[in-house]
Amino acid sequence: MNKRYCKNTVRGLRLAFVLCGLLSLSMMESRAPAMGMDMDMAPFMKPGDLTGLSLQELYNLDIVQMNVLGAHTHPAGEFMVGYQFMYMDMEGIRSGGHAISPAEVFAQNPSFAFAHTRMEMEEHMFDVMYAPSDRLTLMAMLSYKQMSMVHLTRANTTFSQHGDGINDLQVMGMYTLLGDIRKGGNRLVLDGGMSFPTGSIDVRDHRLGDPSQPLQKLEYPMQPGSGTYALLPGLTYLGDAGRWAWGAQTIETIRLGRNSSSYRLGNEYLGSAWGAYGVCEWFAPYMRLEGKVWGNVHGADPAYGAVPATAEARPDKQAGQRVNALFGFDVYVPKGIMMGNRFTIEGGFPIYEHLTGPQLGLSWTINVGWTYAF
Amino acid sequence: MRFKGILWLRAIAALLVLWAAPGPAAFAGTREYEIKAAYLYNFLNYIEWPEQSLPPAGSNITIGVVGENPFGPALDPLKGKQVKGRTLTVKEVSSAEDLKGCQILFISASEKERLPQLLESLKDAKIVTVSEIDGFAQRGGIINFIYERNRVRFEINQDAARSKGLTISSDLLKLARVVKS
Repeated sequence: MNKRYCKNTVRGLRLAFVLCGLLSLSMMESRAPAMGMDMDMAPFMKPGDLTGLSLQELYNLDIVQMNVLGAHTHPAGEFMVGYQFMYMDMEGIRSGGHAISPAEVFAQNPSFAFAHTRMEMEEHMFDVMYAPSDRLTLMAMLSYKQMSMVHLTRANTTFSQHGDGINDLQVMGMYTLLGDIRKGGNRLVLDGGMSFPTGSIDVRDHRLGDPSQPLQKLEYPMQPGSGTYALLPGLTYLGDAGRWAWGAQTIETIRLGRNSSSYRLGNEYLGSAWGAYGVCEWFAPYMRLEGKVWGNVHGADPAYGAVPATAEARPDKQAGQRVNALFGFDVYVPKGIMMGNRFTIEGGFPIYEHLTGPQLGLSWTINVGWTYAF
Repeated sequence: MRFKGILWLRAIAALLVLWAAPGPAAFAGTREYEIKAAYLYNFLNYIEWPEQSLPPAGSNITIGVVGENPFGPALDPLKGKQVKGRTLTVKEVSSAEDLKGCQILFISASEKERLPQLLESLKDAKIVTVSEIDGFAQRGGIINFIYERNRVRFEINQDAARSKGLTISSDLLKLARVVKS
C-alpha cells in the first residue's frame, strides 16, 4: 500500500470514528428521549402500533415514509425536489495501479509540455422526481460544474485553468419489477433513461492561465458536457427490515454516435452497494461502496492537435477503474414546519484505482444533499 | 470484454442470493394496514351506536374481518384495549351469526363478488361496515378506505349509517369524503 492510500485510510478511519461517535450519541439519545430532542419517536420505536395517533395525525400520515432510510422510488402522486453539492479533489498522477512523479511523466512522454498535478471539481446538481404510479417513478437531473486544473510545465512553473458550465440533462424512469413500495422488504427496480447533450464541449480559458494570452479549448476532463446522447440502463435492488436498509445498484452510460468535435466519451459502468441503520427517527448513518469503470475517448477532437501537449488531451489516456469507500449519514425532519426535508452528508476516498494514465487520481470526495418530498 | 462478463455474472448471482435470502420480506411491516387498523380503532370513538345494540358494559366490543385478512399482525395492538367501557376484541368471522356479533365489520377485497349479498344480509344490523373495495360506500357500505397521494383517506356514506341508527361525529365527517348511495 503506498503513502497516498495510507493517508486516505487514516482519513477514512477518522471519518468512521466520528460517525461511530455520532451513532453512539444518537443511541444514547434514543434510550433517553426525555433528555434529548423534543421529538416523538414512538411511531419509529414501535412501528406496528399507531393507535396512539389521533384521527388528524392518521389522516396526515404517509404510507411510504420518506424517512432517513430513503425510498429511491416514490409512491403514486408524490413529487420530490433535490439539490446536491459534490466536491472532488484529485491530486497526484497515477499510471496503471501506481503513482508516478511529474518527472516520470515528462520522461516517458517527450511530446508533453505539461503535466497536471491537481484538479478540483464542484458540481451543483438539481433533480426533480414524480411518481405517476406506485411502480413507476420519473426523474430529471441537471447539474452545473466548475472545474480548475493546475498545470506543471517542463520548466517547473505552474499555472491554473478554469472551466464551468451546464452538464448533460438526464431523464430516467424507474420501474419496480418485483416487490411493492407500500409493503417494503425486497424490491427490484429496472432503471432506464437517456442523457441529452445539453452540456458544453467547447469550454475555453486563456493559454497558460494568462489573461493576456488567447483563449484555448480545455481538455476532455475539463469539458462539462459530452456532446452526445447516451442510454442509461440500470438495475437497482432495495431491501429493508426494521431499522436496516440496504441496496445495490448498477447504472451504465452507453454513449451514442460522435459529437460535433468528432469524438465520443467512453462508456461508463457504475456499481454501488450500501447499508444504512436508522438509529432513530431522524438519523441514519450508512456505508457505501461505489465502483466505476470507464473507457477511453473514441475519435479525437482536432482542436488538441495531432500531437496533444498533455495526457488529458489524449483520447487513449482517459480510461480507468476506481472503487470508492464512502461514509455518510442522513438526517430527516419528521415533524414541524421543516417536516419532509432530508439532508445527507457523505464523504469518501478510493480504495482501488487503476488508470490508463498518466491521469490524476482521486484524493477524496464529499457530497452534501437536500431533498424534499411532497 | 471477459472481465465485464464475469462482473455481470457475479452481480446477478449476488442479487439472486439476496432475493432468495429468507426473512426481510416476511417480517417487513405493512404500514398501510397499520394505519387502517388504527383508523378502525378510532372509528369506535367517533361513532355512536344505539345503546341497546351494544353489548352490556364490561363485556366485549368487536371488530370482525370477513374474507382474506389483509392486516397480518397489524390488528394485534388493538386487542384488549378499553373502548366505551368494553374490551376490544378482534376476530376473523365467516358465519352469519358471527358477523352480527360485530360492531365494526371489515369486508376484505376478497369478498368483492359476494358484496351485494353481504350488504343485504347486514341491512338491518347495527354494524359499521368498512372496506377498501372501489365504490363500496356508493353501493351501501358505510366507510371505504381510499388511497390518495401516499395517504389513507376514507369515504363515508352518511345515509347508510343513519338508516342503521348510527351517528357519525362531525369530526370524522370533516375528514371524510361524504358520498351517497
